[in-house]
Amino acid sequence: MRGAIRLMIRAMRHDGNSTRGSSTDEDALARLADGTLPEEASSELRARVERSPQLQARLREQERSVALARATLDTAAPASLRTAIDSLIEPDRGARRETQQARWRPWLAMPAVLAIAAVIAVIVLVRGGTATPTVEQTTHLALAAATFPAPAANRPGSYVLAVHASGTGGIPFPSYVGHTGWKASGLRRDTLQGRQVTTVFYRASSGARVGYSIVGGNALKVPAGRTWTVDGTRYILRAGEKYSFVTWRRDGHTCVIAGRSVTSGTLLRLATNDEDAT
Amino acid sequence: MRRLDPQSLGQHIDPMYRAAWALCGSREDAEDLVQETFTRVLAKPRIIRGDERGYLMQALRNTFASRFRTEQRRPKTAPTPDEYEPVDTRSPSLQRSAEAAEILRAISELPEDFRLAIVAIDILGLSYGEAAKALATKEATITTRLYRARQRIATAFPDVSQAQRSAGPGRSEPDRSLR
Repeated sequence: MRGAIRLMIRAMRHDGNSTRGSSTDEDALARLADGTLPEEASSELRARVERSPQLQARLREQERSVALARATLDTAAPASLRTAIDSLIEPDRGARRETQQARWRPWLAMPAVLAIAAVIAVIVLVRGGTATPTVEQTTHLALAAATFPAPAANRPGSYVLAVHASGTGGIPFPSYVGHTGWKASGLRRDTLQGRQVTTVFYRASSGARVGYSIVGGNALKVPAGRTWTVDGTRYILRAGEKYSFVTWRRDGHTCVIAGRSVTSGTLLRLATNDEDAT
Repeated sequence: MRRLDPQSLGQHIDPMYRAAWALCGSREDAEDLVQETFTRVLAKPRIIRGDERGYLMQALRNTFASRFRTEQRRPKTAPTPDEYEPVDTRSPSLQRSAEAAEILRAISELPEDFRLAIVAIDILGLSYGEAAKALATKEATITTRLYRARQRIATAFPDVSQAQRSAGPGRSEPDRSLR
């Protein structure tokens, strides 16, 4: 390292005043500007810079750029990204714990699993099989293909689309007019175990796509996941490798936004923006 | 050599976000890039040599190369004027963040080799040696690229006080096309 720096200084003695300069000059000036040039070499180079207006100008450019880069240090990641990454980090801890326990857990849990399965079977037989859909099942609809064309906005510039979720008393879908690039691209209506599910698909200018489903009737059971509350509404995020989804409730009805190749941060931004739709 | 501890990665989110923004030029793409990078890194246990941040820079670069180049080939629709988010530049903190956004965007317009060098050293804070390792090139090459990247950034954002001293009033707007 020291040898290389000495070579740089020696080279500068010869051509330090040339406007273009050699790559050795560039190396030394770059390091001098960010303070990584060793002390001895720095003093020697600074003495040369003082005598050369060209070197002064070149050093000023380097220092200016370093200062500009440092001016970006206040830029912090948005909370939604931090939440999404935390949710990636924490399952890892859970997975390791699960691996350690995996050897003995199945044997311990087997009698309990059999007992629970028997109880569920009896309940289903007695009640005649009236199961309720799950959020995970709804997510599959949000990831499916559209079957109708995209609904239009209620009126130009409106925050809501001219389509309501069936079985909800008229909950509208957001137009995301404030979200750069997100636009409604399709619609589908399904019945999932007797419940009406309305899904609007949105596409971003980058080509990314999400599905926003609202389930008619009573709210579904809340799945496990990363949870936080915004303006009194509880949002649950599940981030996976193949797809991610966010679920929450609007006027007592379950909503799901899901997408592949869409970050959890984006899903969260779209979900939490729902105040625009009310 | 040691095993990468996922719990220690949280501290790198902010610098990685700035680095990603400077690489791809938009806040939204930066979020996607950082999340994709962390998803890949955390997909399986990792053994690393040296600095964690250097390893993350390498992962960021690889993710950027594989995912974002493909996306950039797709046709994009430009946002209409009413889709731009209004920025109140009266607030000093917003002014600072608008300036930071402009600097990061300017870096993203540099040629890729220059951009990676300045991102690794000036944005992410790697040493020259770590940057060379993360970018799989020689230290001397990194230094030369960094020098030239900084030259272009300084030209795009001239020091106004310095410029006024040397050129007097009526100086024209700087050219911020960096390619």
